[in-house]
Amino acid sequence: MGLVKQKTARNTMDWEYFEVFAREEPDGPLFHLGSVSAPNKPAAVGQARMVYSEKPWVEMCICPRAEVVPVISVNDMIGIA
Amino acid sequence: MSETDKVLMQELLCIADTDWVLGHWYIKVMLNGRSLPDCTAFAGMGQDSLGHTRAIFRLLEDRLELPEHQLEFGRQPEALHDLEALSRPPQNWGDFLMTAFLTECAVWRLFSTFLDGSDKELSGMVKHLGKELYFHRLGLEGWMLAASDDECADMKLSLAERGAEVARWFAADGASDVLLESGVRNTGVAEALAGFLDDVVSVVTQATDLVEEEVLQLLPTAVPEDWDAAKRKTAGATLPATLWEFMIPTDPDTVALRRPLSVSVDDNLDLVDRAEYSHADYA
Repeated sequence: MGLVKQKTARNTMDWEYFEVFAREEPDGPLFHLGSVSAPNKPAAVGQARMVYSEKPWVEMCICPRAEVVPVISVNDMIGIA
Repeated sequence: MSETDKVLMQELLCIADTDWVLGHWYIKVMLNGRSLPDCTAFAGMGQDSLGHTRAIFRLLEDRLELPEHQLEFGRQPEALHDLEALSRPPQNWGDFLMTAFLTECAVWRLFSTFLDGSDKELSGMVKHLGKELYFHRLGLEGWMLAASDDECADMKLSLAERGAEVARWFAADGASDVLLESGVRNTGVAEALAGFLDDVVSVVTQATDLVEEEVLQLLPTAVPEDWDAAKRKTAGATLPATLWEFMIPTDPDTVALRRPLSVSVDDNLDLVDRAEYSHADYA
């Protein structure tokens, strides 16, 4: 695969974060499993399916972290400022 | 064994052996991921591919009344039905992405010809494995779409060098398809090829500056004179010794590091769903 210096093509810190959720039973709750960082949505979907495959989920979905609407936040004084 | 069964076994070996080699590509490439989820995803894809291989091997061993693990441990590389394009190691990230994507598309399209066939055990397996293979293609597509300019150039070079080797997997040898006639296969190989070309054109035209006609030109299905139609590869073509050693190690140190077969295959180790831990799951 070439020299080590040729392996880091880009700054992965620029990648978007996606939160990953899944349901174990059809009538069970949707759990927050964790997150993946990926350059785009197809890669994020592929990664989420591969990384969080420890259980036979009946449903899994991802959501861009930027789309999450804060209700209570450690960073913002929501309702005050 | 009937002619239909014989051809079916050959076709399934083409798919299983190719997945077997591809799974080892993923394992070898794992640490070239760009982030931790990348590396974990490659580990998952390798695990899936090797799992699919063993599932098909087990089906074949049952039907051929072979001893267990005969197809994995009882053959020499000359007997494999692997895709020739995987016999040369990837030269760079772009080459890896393109080759793995082409192979995933080819494996799925050929395998999916059995999706609604008359062999219900096989069609059920295709359905189950197909759900996992979809995510392999999607992950690779995402990485291809995110490729840098240099990586795009490498992907185009890779398509030019390996595209024909993958596309000719679908070559028709002029003989009638007994699997299609008998209903074991519900779609023909020609339709599988059309689907493969659609898949590749759709992603490559987005990931690179190539247009549809240019991509199709790089995917001819012409075969060499010494083509072995049963193995879908050039007669006598064999995996390189280094790759075979990686798949079936003979080095004593490596053999010692491997878990005994009785543990890795027969024991159903479940470290996730043990009752004493399940109460803490995602609490």
